[in-house]
Amino acid sequence: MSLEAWQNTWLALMLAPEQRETILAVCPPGLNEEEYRALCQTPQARLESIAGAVQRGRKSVLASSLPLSLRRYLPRELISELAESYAYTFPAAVVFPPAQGMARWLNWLGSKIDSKQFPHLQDLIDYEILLTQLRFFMKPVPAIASLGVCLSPRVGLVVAGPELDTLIQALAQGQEYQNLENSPRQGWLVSLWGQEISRQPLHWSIFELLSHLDGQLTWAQALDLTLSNNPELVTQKSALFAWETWFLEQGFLV
Amino acid sequence: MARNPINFEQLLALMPWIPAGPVLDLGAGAGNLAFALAKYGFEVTALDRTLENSSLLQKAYPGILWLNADIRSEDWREQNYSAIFCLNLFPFLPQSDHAFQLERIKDALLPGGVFVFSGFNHQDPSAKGFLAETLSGEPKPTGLIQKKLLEQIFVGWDLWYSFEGMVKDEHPPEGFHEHGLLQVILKKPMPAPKQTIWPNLPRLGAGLGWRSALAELLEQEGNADFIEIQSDDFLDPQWDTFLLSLTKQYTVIPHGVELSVGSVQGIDLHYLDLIARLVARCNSPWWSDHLCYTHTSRYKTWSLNPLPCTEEALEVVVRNSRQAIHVVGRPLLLENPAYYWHPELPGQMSDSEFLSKVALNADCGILLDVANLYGNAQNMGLDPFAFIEALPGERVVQIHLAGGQMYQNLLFDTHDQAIEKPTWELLKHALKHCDIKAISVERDDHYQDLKSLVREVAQARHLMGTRP
Repeated sequence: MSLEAWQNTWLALMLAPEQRETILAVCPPGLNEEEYRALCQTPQARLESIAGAVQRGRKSVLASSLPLSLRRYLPRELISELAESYAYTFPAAVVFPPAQGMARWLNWLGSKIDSKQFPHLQDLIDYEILLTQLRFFMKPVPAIASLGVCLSPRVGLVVAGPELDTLIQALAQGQEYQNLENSPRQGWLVSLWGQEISRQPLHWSIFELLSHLDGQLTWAQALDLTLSNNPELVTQKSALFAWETWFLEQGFLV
Repeated sequence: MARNPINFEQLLALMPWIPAGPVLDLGAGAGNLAFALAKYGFEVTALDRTLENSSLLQKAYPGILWLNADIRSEDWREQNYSAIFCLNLFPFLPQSDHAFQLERIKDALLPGGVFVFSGFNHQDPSAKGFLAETLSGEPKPTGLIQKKLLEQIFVGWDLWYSFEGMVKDEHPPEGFHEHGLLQVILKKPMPAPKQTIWPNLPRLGAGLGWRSALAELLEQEGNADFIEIQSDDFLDPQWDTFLLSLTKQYTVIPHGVELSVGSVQGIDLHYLDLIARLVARCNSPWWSDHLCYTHTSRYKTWSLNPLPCTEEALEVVVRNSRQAIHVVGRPLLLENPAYYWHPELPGQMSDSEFLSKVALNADCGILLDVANLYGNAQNMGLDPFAFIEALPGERVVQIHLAGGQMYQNLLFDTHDQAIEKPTWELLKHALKHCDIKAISVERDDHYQDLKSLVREVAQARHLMGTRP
């Protein structure tokens, strides 16, 4: 027996029981005749029952693992309906552990919901996806020598409305969040400190400068790039240059 | 050698990798690190010979044991520690004391414990000064740390971080100045896991699976004897403070779904590292997962798919289980899966024979889910009593109880209903044949009647013959 071929075939059937005839049209490579026959003998109704139970479980995980801010922002029925739709539309999409499949699930959610009805939705999605990428707790490893600087793994950037911080706090505390402004758009620096999360609004020039830091450029080089893109900032060059010290002191740069 | 010195942020970021146990801050100074460690959830001993108002500190921060003492005293030697921090204390110790004190630190660390050290090296401006003194107060030349000494004493330890160089500092009375520092973060090796002596595992009684809906219930004493957590929900260190608090009240057993012990391509080593960290965090006597596969190199699902009971599958499971036990360093229990279909293949073992061989050949324990057995009996016509009798009783360490639901003539293991009578009968049968150490009730939904859930735990406890 090729156990791997057996496992791949079984999982293919579980993920798409309606395609059973195609999957089992010929004996999959690695399976012998008896194994192939055993799989062919699985009753279609039984296969669909098992796959259905798996998808019900996936739906439940999708709904319950949605970040708190979104669970409070969106109606429960809408979340349930969309979780079911996502689970069945993408039977193989990773849903567990939740963090691994979160970005895809949230992006899809954003594409399916009317932004006029839920004007802060995209901000919340971008913010929650960013949070899944930030890391504070790390086993110490020697830093890789590089000339440039980059944002610490515990720090990230997101563009959102000017009242993102108020919105997140209101949702976390179950308070009123109606009538919050959603424009003009604003750059935010989101940082972790232990288990605490903080959000700081940034001037657009600093936001752009930080966006250029990829570990290859020094602060001065990123500043030059920002100035060449935005000549109106030239008079601010020395002030912008001085910000590096503050970001380093905060531990936002590595 | 790293280019940056150890900073406070890095010390905080290190905390998830400190295993369960008390931690010691030698030369605690103003106590900033001790506060942070206590806030994270550790039991902290903070020692400093210049502590002022240690009794006031003790009152203000009862979670920290403040010792107004010298490192050369015996005061901190009453217990072993999972981490020892010794930051810039050695300059104040005569160099002739260094080796002896480092040996004492080495002995005081638990296996797997972490040692964080920072000292002045020969480049430090105080190198020609007299910062150190004897216990009787006689000034001595600054105690400069020798790299060779650290290497000799901590030979064979994992070096997680090292830094040597000049570092700018600012504090009164000097104002801006520089120090020559030598810093290391080291991990004491764990002994190789020994073969498990199964009868010696602790008897935990009757417990419950932790779910957020049950948090209040579990805060009250007596509702459960131990707690089972879903490992995969607690891998992120953000849960550590909660877990450190929970482990003060309960023994915590991690139970996962993502090990995929039957995957031909082997086990995800990164995942195993996360599980090892979690098990060390909870100091769990064992951990568990399912005898199944959830993914292959081509597909990743989260469903628990039973394996064909073939020699090839046995070989894969035994190889993967041995590796998992080696990396995590604690006994592994594998749970019998729920079947909704069973292939008819020539030369297959029975499922009880397969599970028994896995347990014996890989040195695993068995987590017997009697609700799955009942479901398998209903769905597949398997004989659950014969299954239990065929297992090596000494290896059946834990029992799972739950209630499932019927969908389209199949009983699914949904964990959202009361435990059915036949499941209780299977528990009684298992208790006759096996050396059960723990029984846990799994409930994932329908929490309206918590009293009934508590009664189920009490019933399991009663059948097991343990007291709350």
